[in-house]
Amino acid sequence: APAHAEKADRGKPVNIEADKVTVDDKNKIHIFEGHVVLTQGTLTIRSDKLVVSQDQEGYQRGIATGGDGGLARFRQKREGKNEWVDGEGERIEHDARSELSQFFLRARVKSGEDEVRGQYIQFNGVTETYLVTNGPNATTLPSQQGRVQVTIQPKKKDGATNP
Amino acid sequence: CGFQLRGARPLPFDSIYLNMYQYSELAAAIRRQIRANGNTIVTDRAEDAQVRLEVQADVKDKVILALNTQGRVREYQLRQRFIFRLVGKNGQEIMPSSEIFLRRDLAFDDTQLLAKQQEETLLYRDMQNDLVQQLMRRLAAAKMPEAPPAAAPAPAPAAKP
Amino acid sequence: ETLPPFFVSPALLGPAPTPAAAPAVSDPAPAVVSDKQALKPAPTPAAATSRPAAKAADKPVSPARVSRGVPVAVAPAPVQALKPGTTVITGDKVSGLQDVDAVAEGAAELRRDNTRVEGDKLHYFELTDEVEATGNVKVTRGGDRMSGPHMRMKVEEQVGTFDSPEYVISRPGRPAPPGQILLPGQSVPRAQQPLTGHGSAESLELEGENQFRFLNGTWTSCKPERPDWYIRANELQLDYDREVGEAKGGTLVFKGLPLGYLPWADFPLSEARRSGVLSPTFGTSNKVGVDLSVPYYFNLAPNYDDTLTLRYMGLRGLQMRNETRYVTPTYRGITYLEYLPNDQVEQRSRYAGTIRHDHNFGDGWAGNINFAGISDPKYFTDLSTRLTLTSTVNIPRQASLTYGGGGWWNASAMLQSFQTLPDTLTGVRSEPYKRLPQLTLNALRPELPGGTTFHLASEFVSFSHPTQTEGRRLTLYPQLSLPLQTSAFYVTPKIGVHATRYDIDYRGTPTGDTGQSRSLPIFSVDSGVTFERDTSFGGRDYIQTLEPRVYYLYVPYTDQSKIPNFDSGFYDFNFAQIFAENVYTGGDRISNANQVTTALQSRLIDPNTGAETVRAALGQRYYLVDQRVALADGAPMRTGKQADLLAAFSATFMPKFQFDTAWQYNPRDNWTERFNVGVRFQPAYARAVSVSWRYKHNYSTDPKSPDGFRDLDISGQWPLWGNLYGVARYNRNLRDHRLTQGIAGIEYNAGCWVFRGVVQQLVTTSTDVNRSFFFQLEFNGAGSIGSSPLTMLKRNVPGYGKINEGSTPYVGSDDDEF
Repeated sequence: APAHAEKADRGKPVNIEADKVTVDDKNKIHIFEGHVVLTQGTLTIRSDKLVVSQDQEGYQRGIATGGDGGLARFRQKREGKNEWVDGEGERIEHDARSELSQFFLRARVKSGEDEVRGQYIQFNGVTETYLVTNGPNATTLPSQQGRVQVTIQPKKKDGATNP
Repeated sequence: CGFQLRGARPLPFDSIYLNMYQYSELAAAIRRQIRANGNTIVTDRAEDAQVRLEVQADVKDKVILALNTQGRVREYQLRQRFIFRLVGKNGQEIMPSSEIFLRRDLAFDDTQLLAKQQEETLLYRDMQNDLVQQLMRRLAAAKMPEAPPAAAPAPAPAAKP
Repeated sequence: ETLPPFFVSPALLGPAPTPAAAPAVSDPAPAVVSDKQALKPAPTPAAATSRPAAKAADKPVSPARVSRGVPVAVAPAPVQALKPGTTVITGDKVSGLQDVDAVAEGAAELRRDNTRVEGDKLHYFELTDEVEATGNVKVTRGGDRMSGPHMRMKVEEQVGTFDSPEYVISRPGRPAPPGQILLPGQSVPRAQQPLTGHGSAESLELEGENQFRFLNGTWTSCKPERPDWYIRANELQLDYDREVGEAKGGTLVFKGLPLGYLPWADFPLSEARRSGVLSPTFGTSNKVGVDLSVPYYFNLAPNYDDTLTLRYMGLRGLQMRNETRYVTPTYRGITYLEYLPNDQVEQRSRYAGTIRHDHNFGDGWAGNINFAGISDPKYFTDLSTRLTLTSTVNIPRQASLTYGGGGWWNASAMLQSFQTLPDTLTGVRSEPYKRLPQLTLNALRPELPGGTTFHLASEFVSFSHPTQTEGRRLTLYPQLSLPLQTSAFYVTPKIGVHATRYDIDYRGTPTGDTGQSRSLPIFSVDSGVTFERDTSFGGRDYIQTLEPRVYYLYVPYTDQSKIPNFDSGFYDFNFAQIFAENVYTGGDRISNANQVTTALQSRLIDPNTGAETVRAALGQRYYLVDQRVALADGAPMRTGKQADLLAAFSATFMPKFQFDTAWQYNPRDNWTERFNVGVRFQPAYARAVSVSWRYKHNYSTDPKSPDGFRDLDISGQWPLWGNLYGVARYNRNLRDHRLTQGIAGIEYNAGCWVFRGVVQQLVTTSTDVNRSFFFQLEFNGAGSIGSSPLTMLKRNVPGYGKINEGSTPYVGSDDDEF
């Protein structure tokens, strides 16, 4: 059965460190800047800037931009497997409610041994489905302007984890 | 006019193994000739020999040269192709694969079949003597790998025609 | 003798270290050239590292400026060396569920090891390792390429289906496996070129890496841009493991013209021998009319095969032929049978057969059987177009056993008889004597005391004949010689006693008592000197030899007129014979002799290979006594003092140029007895011209059967233009103004097929000729259609080279039997 992102993370407290925080209560937005590190259970997001907003039901939504090499980073343990999902992109949007993470520009997500690469990656941690396109915001461009690549490592038939 | 008696021409190796059908007349003739040559022995096993004579082909063929007016054979040509190689102890090639090609014409007449068969035997034996003589000259010209760069190879010994 | 003297090749028989068991030919796994090396994208610095992303990447990902909102071309995926079995899917858009499936669109592509699948849309099912591609699908793997609208396949197992594919499959030519067994007469297949086949089909079932099954498919080995011929079949199975293609309900289409419907046929996908229908052969001749034969080949084992041929002859009906060939390290042979149940022309059944078998029993024992026969005298001239057969008069039937293990002696036993065909002119059957048996014992013991050599030639023969006098003959001929030898000269005196006893069964009035005997001393001295000097010729240096030789022979006269003549006849006067001890062959006549034979020989020898390139020789014999022993009463006997003068010159600069000439001059009557000259020029493969002229003085007064001749023989193969070759042989007896053998043919090589058309005219009797036409259409890689003039060309046009050597050197052995 498809493995799902660590369910346990949903209930965990969210801890965010940063050099500077500005709060916009009216719109319920917190803006963190400078070596931002968000941790929630096994989930970690690192970036230069992180904008966190909250919807009515209280679900949070984070937009991380920038980081080492201009790339924000995302890491989460896969449910039921001792494998990690690592993602990076110039901008990462993570929606706690839908468990949907989106990576924009120079996007790359490595889940276990398999890896996905492109201009835009949409990765659902729960269903572990992904969509990757060679254009920004899930658009597809003529092939010459960019390619998307998915690398799948050979798995032993008996489901043992990869060497 | 520059001719002088041929000097002794020993074979440039002291032991040789003949990698061919041991019991053929040709093998016996080559053994006799090498022994008559003096300083080289023919070994019974390949391992004991300094060089091996690899006989790659020894094909005798009889081709029709001409027919008489009744469409019967009037002349055959007896051919023999002998292809050989000289190989050192550990297989390195001393003399590349070379061919000795011999031809004799045999006038033929069906009414004298037995007589002509005996003549054919005589011709094949004459070709064999010629072949052995030419082979000895070839072997005498072999360049042994570690042999010091000898002067012009000494001429081959007189072989009985 | 239809086949050349059957010689057991020493490589097979000698105790050389060949493996004891029949070296079964194991086809080494084909070195499939596969570009297995990992796919190398354009070199970019490996940006992402596999360390947990938490630590910042140590090197900037790419120099491209990071700007928001502007789509940045992602540097092509930096790829570390891919582990074998890694699947890489690329496209414009990919969506999927991890560990389950992935859908790629927009010039999508899936790569794994050396397999690549491309299409507008790919759907990869990871659990079943299956990929489904739709929209101008292209699959490439090693040398194979397939394209079509839709395909679904298991990537690892290469099993799946392909809809209306076009395909190119090429396999590298495999070198002939070492130590490959050569069946008697089979030519050595050279290293095979890569064989590429391509075509299209309604659908393709991929059944493994080397298995392809096409429905309504076509196959050809021609270049895609010029598919001059192809095989179209309802079902076409290509099995590259067994390297055989099988067509069911197939048709061979040549230049758009369906040539033949093949309900079932298989063809080789490589050069190796394959069971299956060989290509049918077409021809016509004035003797049999239309001549169509369809051979089926059974490749029973690497060293054992069988060819069954059905031959339909327009004028005569249906004939069956079967040839079995086998070879093992200790024995080999050919068995050939032909049966024509009802010859419409002769209104009777006709058959022919031959059995040849050579056996090495080991320790020097060897045996041979050579037995052949035909049902009626005109069999060959009616049914065969092969010169060696149509010219046969005596068909051998013999068996022999030889022992060579004695070292300095050897012995043999032979039973020999013949089926003799009547002379086409006179209808007379002049049967030779049968030798039932002939036993021989020869010994040669050199280096005996005093440096002498003992040589014994002994023979016991029982001659039998249906009509003539029969008898048994025992001959003992011990000889002692003293070879005095140095590297420069030799003198070899020899003395021997030739003793013979006869036990004769006379036919008709006996001409003497039944016991006859004869014993003669034979004395000879052979001597020669060898001079040498270094010389140069045409800019290259040679060793030139000068070898005078003097040979004296003395044999006293004894009356042999009472002795019957079983096997004696005149030797041909040539360089081999002038140093023989007897003018007559055989053992029934020992000519008296008191003569001196002198010869001078000179050779040019290449100093560094020892190869002899030029040889010139002069020979003459002087008789000191008249000839008094005649073959039969009243036969002419020589009285002159001088024998003929012999001269010979030959120059061979292998392989390009060969020249030889021989001349026999009769000083008594001051004319030329015999003269021939021949030159052969072979500058390159499939380029050869040879011209020869032969003359013999005519003694016979009967114009109808002259024994002299003036023969001109020109033969050659030369490219005319482009890849059209001309082949010809013109063998004319100028004295009788008759073309004894004429061949004219053209060969056109169009890359993947070759056309050969050859006309042959050949004298079969004094009034009759055999005119036949062969045509052959050979498709590289798929066998050939049309009667094979190859064997005939090879035998009759020296230096003939097959112009499409790359195509299957099909099994037809060089000198197949009938």
